[in-house]
Amino acid sequence: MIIMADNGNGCCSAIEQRDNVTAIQNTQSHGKTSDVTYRPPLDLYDLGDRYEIQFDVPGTTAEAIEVTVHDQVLTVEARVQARYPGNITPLLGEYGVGDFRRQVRLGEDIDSQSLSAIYTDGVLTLSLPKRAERQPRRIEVRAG
Amino acid sequence: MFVRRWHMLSIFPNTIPGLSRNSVFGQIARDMDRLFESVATRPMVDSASRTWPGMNVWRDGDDIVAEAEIPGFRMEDIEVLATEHMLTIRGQRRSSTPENATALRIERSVSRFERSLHLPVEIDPDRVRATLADGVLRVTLPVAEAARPRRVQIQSLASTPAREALPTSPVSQAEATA
Repeated sequence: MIIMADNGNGCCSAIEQRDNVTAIQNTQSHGKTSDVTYRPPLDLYDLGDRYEIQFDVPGTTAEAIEVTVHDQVLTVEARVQARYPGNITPLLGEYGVGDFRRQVRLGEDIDSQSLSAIYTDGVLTLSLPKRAERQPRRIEVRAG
Repeated sequence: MFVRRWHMLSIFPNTIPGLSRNSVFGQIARDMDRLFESVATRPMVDSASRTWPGMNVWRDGDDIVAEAEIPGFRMEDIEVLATEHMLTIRGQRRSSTPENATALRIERSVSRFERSLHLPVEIDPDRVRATLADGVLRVTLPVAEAARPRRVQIQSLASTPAREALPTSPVSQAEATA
């Protein structure tokens, strides 16, 4: 798994989708093994001092996942190896297998230098810490 | 039922000519978007999905192989049931919501599923194997001995001895009379 962040101001709260598209275009740009790129579904949580994003990216490996942050845009790309033998008889085909790619715009309260990521059971979990100075501080009030 | 409806966030593009976001219609569009968003960010269903996960099934020699992508489900969350003519996969996963978290967006909504498939040929339920790796479940169902194709020996009718060896066959009788 590769995590890269540029030095720009990182991320934050409002996360929107930028990438509605697909893979056919993407594949041409990065020449992966499969024909189509799929947009993985995600869950996004706010945990107070950090955000957590969970992506469904089954059938890949930690080594084949790239997470990058550039200009406040988080990009997740996962290469998926073709896994069907050539000489089979298809009986039912309900989904395609190909690389995953999705982009998320990060808010300014995210410290993109300290992202961490873990891949388990086909789910990629990203932890995005908020910048310390942006977190609400509790001010002690003393009796005068 | 699992509804995938995540392809757009606004059902009204900002670029409709003549539709100012500040006009009455713009207000309606914003209200519709808010309603849409409130529905879309909530998990759709609590009951078991019967349409998710999608399945790919193929025949590979003497095996039927069925595969499903079920990211987030662990081995102990899954049950695979097989009869001679039916495969059922079932799963129930614990919530993946972190503690004390506010959900801002939920697209991975299925936490329970049950799917059954009728198999096109009889399989041997005692020899079914299943593996789960990186969220991909693969079930291998060996085709029952009785349902496997048998190689039929083709006998030559060219030589006289072979023809005599098949005296009761209608074909050879017909040929004999010809």
